[in-house]
Amino acid sequence: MKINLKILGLAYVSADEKCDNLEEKVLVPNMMVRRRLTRSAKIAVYLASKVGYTNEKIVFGSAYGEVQATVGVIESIYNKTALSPTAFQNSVHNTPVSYLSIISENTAEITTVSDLYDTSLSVLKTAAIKALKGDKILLLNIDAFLFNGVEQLNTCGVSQLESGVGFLVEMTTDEANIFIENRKNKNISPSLWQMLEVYEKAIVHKNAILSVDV
Amino acid sequence: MENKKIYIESMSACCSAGYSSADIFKSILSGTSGVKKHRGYLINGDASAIGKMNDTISFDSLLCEKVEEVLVTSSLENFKDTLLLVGTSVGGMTWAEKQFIEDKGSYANIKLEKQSMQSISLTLKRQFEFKDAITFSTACTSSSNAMVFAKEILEAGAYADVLVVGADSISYTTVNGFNALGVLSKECSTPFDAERTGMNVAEGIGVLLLSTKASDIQLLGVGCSSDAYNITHPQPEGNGAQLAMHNALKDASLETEEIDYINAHGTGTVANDSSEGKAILALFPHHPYVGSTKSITGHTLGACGVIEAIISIEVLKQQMIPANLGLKTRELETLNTIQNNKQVEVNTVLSNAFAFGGNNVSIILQRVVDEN
Repeated sequence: MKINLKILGLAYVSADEKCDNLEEKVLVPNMMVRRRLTRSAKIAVYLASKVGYTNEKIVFGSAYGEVQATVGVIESIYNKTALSPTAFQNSVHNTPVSYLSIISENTAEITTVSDLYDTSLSVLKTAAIKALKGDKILLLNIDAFLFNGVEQLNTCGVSQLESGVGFLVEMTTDEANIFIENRKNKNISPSLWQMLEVYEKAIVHKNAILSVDV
Repeated sequence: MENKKIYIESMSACCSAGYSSADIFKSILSGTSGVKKHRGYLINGDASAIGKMNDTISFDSLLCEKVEEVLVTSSLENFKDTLLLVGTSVGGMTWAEKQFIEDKGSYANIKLEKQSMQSISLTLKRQFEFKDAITFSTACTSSSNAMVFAKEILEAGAYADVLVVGADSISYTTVNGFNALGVLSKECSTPFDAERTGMNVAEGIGVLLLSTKASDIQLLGVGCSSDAYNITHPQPEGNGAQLAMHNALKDASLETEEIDYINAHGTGTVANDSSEGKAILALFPHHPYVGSTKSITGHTLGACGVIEAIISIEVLKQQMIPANLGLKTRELETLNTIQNNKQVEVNTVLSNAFAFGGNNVSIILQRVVDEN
């Protein structure tokens, strides 16, 4: 089944270690909330602000989840030291979009998918089906995995340890002009490849329409 | 969108309360809890009351066994044209923790395929062939969100069958994490009781084959919402829970009074049960029966959506509302929780699941009396 999605807004960030200029102070003026945000949550809030998000349904994808929080928990367990409740509550995969929903007071449906290197495809397929009801959907695909010990896990040699892609889409019956060819990008986590490919193709189109094969 | 009806074709489950759907429901009706005290999980050395399955069979073997059971009791010969949807919040973390500890705090032998959320579907794909697979990970609503998507993709006509698997194993992270949050009970949980002391982390596997082929149970409605309130605390008045239940009723084209029984999320924590109870009272003035089975199964986290859908199906098939084990004094007096099993006519059940981040999902299941 093929579903065509009109890309209404798009944004992308990436950095070797940490993305700069995520405009946290502007986007999250409440200092207490801002201090609790994980790296992926900051990227989610930033990307949402750049694609024209106005409290739509959200489909989020992350392969590795909240790595820093998870590492904090597992190291506390190993060292038998007091476990941080904040680290635990932030360790679930839907944390970034949960913070986004709190900050934007969005009570709409939010779902999170995680399929390791297939994650961005899962985001696109899930969003395509959700868009069939006529809703605009915010798609976010983020992985941020800078932590002490990352070199032991980063066997692919990914150089950009933080990256995120965001789209605002709606279903259309118009003809597609963007097709996924499964381009690779060795600098970026494979969990973002298809979303990044769509971003790179859509940025040069005035009227970008993506074909998603579900 | 085509107007397709979605049915439950086949199901299977296991958890600390039993190794089949029938056994779990038998434990529920007899008030036999699978939650027991175990040492070795809490880093402070204390015992924890958790729902642990027998260690003699590996979690991965049980996972494949439960899926095989669904296959052999279905009309399918294989899953080659079936979409696999997994809901999990722990994924391969239990394996990764053990490896990390065994390697004395090194990540060198952590394999991403085995550690990730995708590990559940990768395990299944080694034994079964599926057309495609997607993993949902929204903490304790993971498998509920998988069911929501299953209904949507079946209605869209993209598949004729979808296999939904909810699976979470006990991990040090979840037991110690919930303990750090101060919500882990030292005893078996007593949902909706005025003196409740918290929840019990548990493990379990639930498998549902959803199909457009008619059967005796229909997945009639699904509804989702976000609290937009707090990462761990539900909105105190249950606004998000109400919205999810309202959306499920709307999707099912039902009025509130058509719900006979609500299988509550009912974790046994002070915050959840108070918020959920208030939401139910606000939305259902006709006082349907309300119950939580987590005092029997424990809280199976990302698996609870599918496991409790299966329990709800047993309620519909056996026409029996289970008692709330351990409930002595209702906190909310007008919430229609019962202390003894009750044989009544039950046609429609609503089942809730709520998660960190204020992620809420409600589903509605209905007994098909006569399709004509």
